Parts: sequence; C-alpha cells; structure tokens
Amino acid sequence: MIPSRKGEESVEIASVGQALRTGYNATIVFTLVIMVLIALSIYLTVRGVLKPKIRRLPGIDAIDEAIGRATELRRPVHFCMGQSGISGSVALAALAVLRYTARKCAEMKSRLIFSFAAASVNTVAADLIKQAYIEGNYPEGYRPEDIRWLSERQFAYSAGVLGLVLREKPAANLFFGFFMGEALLFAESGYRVGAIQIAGTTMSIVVPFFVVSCDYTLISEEMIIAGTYISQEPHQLGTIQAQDYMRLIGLTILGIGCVLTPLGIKFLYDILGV
Amino acid sequence: MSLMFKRYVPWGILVAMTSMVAADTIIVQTDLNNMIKSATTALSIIGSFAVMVSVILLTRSHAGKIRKNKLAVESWTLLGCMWVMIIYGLYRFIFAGVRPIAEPTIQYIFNAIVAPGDSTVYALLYFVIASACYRAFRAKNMRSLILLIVGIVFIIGRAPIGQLLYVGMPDLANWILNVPGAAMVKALLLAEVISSFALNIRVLLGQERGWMGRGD
Repeated sequence: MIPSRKGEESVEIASVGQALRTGYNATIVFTLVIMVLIALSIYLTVRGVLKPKIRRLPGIDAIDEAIGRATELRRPVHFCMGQSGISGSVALAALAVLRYTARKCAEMKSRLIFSFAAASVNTVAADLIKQAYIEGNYPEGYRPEDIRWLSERQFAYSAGVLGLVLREKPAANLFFGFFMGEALLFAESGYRVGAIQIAGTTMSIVVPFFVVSCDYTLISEEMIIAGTYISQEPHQLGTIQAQDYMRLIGLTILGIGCVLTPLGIKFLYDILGV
Repeated sequence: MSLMFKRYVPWGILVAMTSMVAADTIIVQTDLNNMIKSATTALSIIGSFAVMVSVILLTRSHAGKIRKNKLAVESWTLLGCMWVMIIYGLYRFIFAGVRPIAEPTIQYIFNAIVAPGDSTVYALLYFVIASACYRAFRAKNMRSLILLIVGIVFIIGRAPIGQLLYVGMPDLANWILNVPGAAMVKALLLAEVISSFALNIRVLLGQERGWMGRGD
C-alpha cells in the first residue's frame, strides 16, 4: 500500500505498475461529471439549443464610461492587479479584463498605467497591452514605462501605488486581482483624487473594503466570469450555463447533507471523503 | 507559423502540464511524480528569472525617465538603491560565500529601513478604515441602514462597553460573525470554486485566450 497525499492508503494496480491514491474517488467522479456537463453545455449553446444569458454586470459596463471620462479629462486610467501572480483563475480573469481595458484605452486614445506586484506578470502584461494598443489602431499610445512593477513586498507595493495615484491623478482606477489589507489604501487614495473606481476580487475579506470605497464592485464569481461577459462568445457562455448546473448539484448535495447529518446518517461524508 | 508559436505552443504546454499535474495528484508513478517534482523546482527557478527580467525592464524604464529629466529624483534613488544592493549582495556571495539573505549589512538595511517602512504603511490602514467607515456608515437607503445597524452592534459588541450596556451584546456580535457572516462567505466560496473550475476548463479547451495577449 502506498500512502496518499492525505496520508491515506492507496490501491495498488499491479498490472500496470501504478497506484491510485485513495481519497480522490469523489474528486475524480465529480471532475468527470463537471467536464461532461461543460462539454454538453458548450455543444448545446453553440448549436443554439441553449441560449444562456448573463445578467447585467454594472461594474463591467462602467469600464467604458470610466475610460471615456478619463479621455475627456485627459487623465490616465490606472489598472491595478494587486498581488496576483501569473497563475490561478483570478489572474487569468484579471488579465482578460486588462486586455479589454487596454483595447478600449487604445480606441479612445487614452493613457493606461498598469501597476502590479508579482514580477511574473511583467512580460505577459506588457505583451498583452502592447497587442491591445496595436489592435486598437493606436500603437504609439503604448508606453513601456507605464507598465510598473512596483515591488513584491505587500506594503512597499502599497506605498508605490499610493504615490502613483497621488502623482498621476488617474480619472479611473480599476482594481482586478488578488488584494489583501492594502485594498482600502488603494481605494481611499483613488477616492481622494476623484477617480471613478471599479474593483473586482474573489477575496471575501477584501470585498467590504472595496464596497465602501469604490463606485462598482465585482464580487467573487462576477470577477471570474468578467472575460466571458465581455466577449459574449457562445463557447464561453456555454460554460457559464454549466456553472449553474454545477451550482445546482452542489446545493442539492448540501441540502441532502443538511437533512441527513442531524439524523446521524453520514454516508455523504464517506463518499465525499470529507 | 507565427500563430503556431503565439497561440498553439503556449496552449499545448499548458494542456500538457495541467494533465500531468492532475495525474500526479491521483496516481503514484515514480517517473511521473519525479518529473512533476522537477517541474515544480523549475517553476521557482523561472520565477527568479522573471524577477531578473523585471529588474532589467525597470532599469530601462527609469533610465528613460532620467534621460528625459535629469532631476528625476525617484528614478535615481530607485536605481541607485536597487543596483547597489544587487552588486553588493553578489560581491559578498562570490568573494565571501555569504548568502544575500544572511548578509549582516543587508539584514541591517532590511531591519532598519524596510521593516519600519512596512509598519508605517500598515499603520496608515487604520486611518483609511476610519475614513471609509465615516462614508459607509450613513443611512442613505435601506441597505446602508442595515449596514449601519449591524456595524454599530458589532463594534459595540466587540468593545468592553458592549457588555456593560447589554450582557448579551458580545454573543450577538459573535452570532452575526459566525452565522449570517459565515453563511455569506461560504456562498461566495462555492460560487468562486465553481466559476474557477469552469474558467480553468475554458482555458484548457483554448476558449479563454485573454491571458495570451494575442488577437483572435
């Protein structure tokens, strides 16, 4: 028997010389179910059988308005990605919004300042913004010095963003990514310079900070589906439909668990391996 | 060819690595497990290179600023501090064998400048919390009224005066945190996990290409 990652036992499969770790049965089954659901939803959406709609997200709609205002005021747009590295769904979602913002800035001939903490974001973001400016027929608007890696240290980065906002006085502040306590510092400095502020994060402890200080806040899932909301591509919308089915399955299991657990029936615990 | 290198090669690497990491999670197979272990090590090395690339880009950016404006004090300060630290750290490492993280001068600079700077910025947070509370706690509509009431109950419940005013106040504050508060957080977590999963599937299927920074 070979111990699993969780310190459990695993089942040896002698014929192929491999072993499956135990404790992952439910994970494997749920992953497969979800993948089938997503594939099915994409197929049905592309064929036009399903017509999923995402409810209006004022925060995303307001990005155009904020960039337009920045153009009129001849002040820059500041996009802040927080401490997000290049890995993880939050970073991917934030980069999708960054790409859209950069494209809009190019179309409206506005200046975009991008600040971030993780060095790994640098080259990807630079390439992404440059490409967006080229696609927006305003390649001369791309300024490498406006892609600002401030620091990998949380509060050094915070100090950098505070200084940047107070010096450059952006007309729009967009916060999309991973933030912690520094979120309120950023949002308050933006409020002081009179910027329209739009934030999106999955960190539940940071959401209240953004809600009180920003004009629009995308919470949790809203932030992650922002890319899909912007593109409205049927392939991507299909996965959003699948998300609803997954949520339904999750809530059903949750409901069953709420009923069974007080009765002392704990087979769900055994199946799910919790 | 260009499209191949710009889009399909990164996507192919992503799919291959994701599949192998997923397999490593559930399968015990020495070669695979070792390979993923090596890949994880390589990832941290690549991360270090990313820092080096960023240092070079930062130097170029600030050198450009200095060329335009000779009195760009912040650029001079940043470049001076950064390169002096890098060169000194490397010098001590090469000629004295002291790792930069254990170098006494660098440690002193960290303890005397960086750590107090961190604490100062952290302390600013308390002022902005007060400023944000002042704006948030105004009963402009029903939702902000609820926020105001909950906020007041919670603040009083957490302060010693809460128990003097009403014995059950601390319990009430804890209840708000542990029952409705926790329920909301769990709901957000569930939504986040599901949407992250769907996003990752979209990326694996090559439908989410925003991160590549290339046109469709």
